[in-house]
Amino acid sequence: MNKSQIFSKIESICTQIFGEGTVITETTSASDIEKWDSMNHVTLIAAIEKEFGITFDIMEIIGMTTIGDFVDVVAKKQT
Amino acid sequence: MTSIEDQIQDNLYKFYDCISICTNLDSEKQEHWAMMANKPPYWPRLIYRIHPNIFLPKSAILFSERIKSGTYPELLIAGPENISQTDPFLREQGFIPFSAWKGMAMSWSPNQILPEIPEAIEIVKPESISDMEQWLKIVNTELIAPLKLDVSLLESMLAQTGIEIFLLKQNGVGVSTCLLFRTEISTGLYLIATLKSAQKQGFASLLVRYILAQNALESKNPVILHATPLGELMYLKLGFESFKHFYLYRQLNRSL
Repeated sequence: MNKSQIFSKIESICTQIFGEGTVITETTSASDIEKWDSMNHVTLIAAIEKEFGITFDIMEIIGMTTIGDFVDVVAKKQT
Repeated sequence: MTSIEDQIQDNLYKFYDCISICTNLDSEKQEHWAMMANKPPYWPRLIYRIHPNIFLPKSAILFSERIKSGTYPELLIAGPENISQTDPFLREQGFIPFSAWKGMAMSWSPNQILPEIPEAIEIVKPESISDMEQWLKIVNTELIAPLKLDVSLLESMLAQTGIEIFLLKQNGVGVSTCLLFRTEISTGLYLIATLKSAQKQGFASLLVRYILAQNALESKNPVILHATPLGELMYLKLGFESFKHFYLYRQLNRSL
């Protein structure tokens, strides 16, 4: 799966969590979305792990602050 | 003598003790907790500190039971000790790590001088409802915090010994926040945040330098803080040193 496909899937997950109409780009972070609080942050992590069948390690989670970061780490874990 | 790492941890835990005291307690749970051995001086409604050996069989069974019964809160904090074993254990219990803080510290120095404050800038300790609301808006908007603060909780916190809050205003509008928490052995800085529209202009740095200089006149204790990965570089530039990580976990599908 290439990064564009990974982004599309993550974008879809974000829409489910943060609501229809939420604008998602690679640079989107928690400060851009009002509903991106700590509860939704863990929901997002869990949903991405389930979707891609992966488990982020704790240092990866700490480093992921934007949607682009999530895409990069998922891509890396799939290679 | 207490090590700097112990002082960092001590200040963080006492700060959360302080906030927990200020939150409304569930009387039934409080009574339950009070009956337990080794009880802390508060009901840990907000956050629970994970013991480094939590994954060992006896502790694990007890922890699991208390999670299932709702006795423990849905927010956990773990130190770096045994984290490679603690992390998978907490995930099995339905907790996901969502952030980490780097413990940082700066020793007292006589060289801390008050920074020059530009004309459009004013630094105040909010006392009016208006200033408190501006302070709360920034904290609640800009930080991925475990709990949304309100005026009532903030007033309760300010009534506790050792807590002060600061608001940096630009042209009369609050843009940066900080909370100072003093214990007997250290001064902690918390809830350092800047409105998104005012970020990358040096406001948080200016506010922290101002508070460091003010604090140095009143206390020779070290100043500690817990930085997110994004904030660590700024604090290193201000002269803080990095120490150990603290990891934050939150339970899925359970709201505070």
